[in-house]
Amino acid sequence: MKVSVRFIIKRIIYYILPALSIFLLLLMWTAVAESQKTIPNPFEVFERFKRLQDRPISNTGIIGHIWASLQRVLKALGISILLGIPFGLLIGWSESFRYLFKPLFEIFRPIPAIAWIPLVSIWFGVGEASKITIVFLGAVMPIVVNTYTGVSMVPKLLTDAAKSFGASHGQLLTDIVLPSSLQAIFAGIKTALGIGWMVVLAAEMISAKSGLGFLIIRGSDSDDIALTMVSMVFIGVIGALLSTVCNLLERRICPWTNE
Amino acid sequence: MDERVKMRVRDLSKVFFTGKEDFKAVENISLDVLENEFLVILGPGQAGKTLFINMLSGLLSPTTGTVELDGEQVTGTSLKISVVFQKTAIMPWKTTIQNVEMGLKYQGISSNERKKISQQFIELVGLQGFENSYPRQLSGGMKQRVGIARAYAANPEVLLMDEPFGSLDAQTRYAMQDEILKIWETNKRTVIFITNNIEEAVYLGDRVILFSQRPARVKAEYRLRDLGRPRNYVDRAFLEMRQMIEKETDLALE
Repeated sequence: MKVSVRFIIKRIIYYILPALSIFLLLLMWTAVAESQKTIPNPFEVFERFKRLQDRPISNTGIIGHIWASLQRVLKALGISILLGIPFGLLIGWSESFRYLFKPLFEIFRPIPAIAWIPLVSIWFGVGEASKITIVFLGAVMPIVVNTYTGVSMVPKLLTDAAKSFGASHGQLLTDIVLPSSLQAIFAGIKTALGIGWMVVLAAEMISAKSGLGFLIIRGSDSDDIALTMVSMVFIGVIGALLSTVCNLLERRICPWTNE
Repeated sequence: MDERVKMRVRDLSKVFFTGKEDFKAVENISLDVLENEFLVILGPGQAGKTLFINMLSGLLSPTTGTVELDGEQVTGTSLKISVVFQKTAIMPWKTTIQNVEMGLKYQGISSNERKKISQQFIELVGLQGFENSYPRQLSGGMKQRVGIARAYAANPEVLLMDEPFGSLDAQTRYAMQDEILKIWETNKRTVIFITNNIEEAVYLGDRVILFSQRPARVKAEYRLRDLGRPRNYVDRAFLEMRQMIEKETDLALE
């Protein structure tokens, strides 16, 4: 009985602590804003957010701008998954494929996605296609690397066991190698999501008529730091939500890792 | 029991070429395995027993020598041979039943049929109620039971068991020894069981073949059918046999 009471108290504390830390952040933010007068305080930022609802920028409210950024990331992530996982599987699985493509990949991998912006603009202009391409270039890398690592770390004992039970080459790939690498692949997708979210903002800051990155630059250009900070808050919140969704998805797809 | 030779091993060697000098792991092993017998291979740790069994299963190709199953040479993995692995080698992402039906799945047997056969062997090893559990939810002994059910469900003619109880605690180990004999008696198959535990060898085997230290060679052979079954660890005949083997063994084992 005593133990369960202690357990309940512990649970309550675990709910209170995050709220407490957010409250402290707001408090410090207010203190800094009041003492320096260089940045708006939380209430002014909230007021700015409400005003954005009445007077949209580029004919779009905040939801529209969030969606503009989000759909770019999700499209690029989708393409990255569709191309990156098979590519990672192939270089992990086939030796000749690895020797053929791994060196090329290793040269392209260190080039930051943002460095591609000039070339991509020449090829695709400044529209949606070029932004999605740039985000894709950032997001696909960790997916390929993690898939490849996952495949090369499949224990030999497990592939041996499957072989001894008569698994064909194809069955080894789909029944052993792929499920055994899923956790590593998921970690790659999570990293890709973070990178994609970062790259899309950079791309939007350079040239866009919508999106959270565009709002940040618009705020900066028009001396409207509150607008910039509204965008920053949403970037943080959306990023955290995406990563939570990803974790839930992983638990759903890899139930054997659950406690 | 008939005396037909099921597996014939001749001059089997495994040498690893590691630059400077050759590393002999298994040297000139010749032995016959009789149909439906329970043959125990007893040898000290690190003697090359696992390499030997991997050559029997076709997972490892020998440097010289041959393995024949029913007169035909074993060149790769065969559906007639199943392995119970030392480190279980069950798939962490598969449930008990999915692990047990692996062999049947790869043979292209329909899902319904697979479930029926697997269920039967899951019950035989006493895992009913855990069909949909993942390995991480099972104890060490239960995981090894999954491995045994998986090997039997594939319906092999020969079962290779590579120190399957090596990592279990003593209590579970004794229980599993009885379990494996019960299964063997209800589903007669040729079993080759590897261990480094003399007591276990004498308790289980129709015949015990003693391997030397590395490189593994056949050192002695003991016929234990006269001990009858079930055996008792403290019978006089049992203890005498145990002592006799102990004298011949290269290292004080366990």
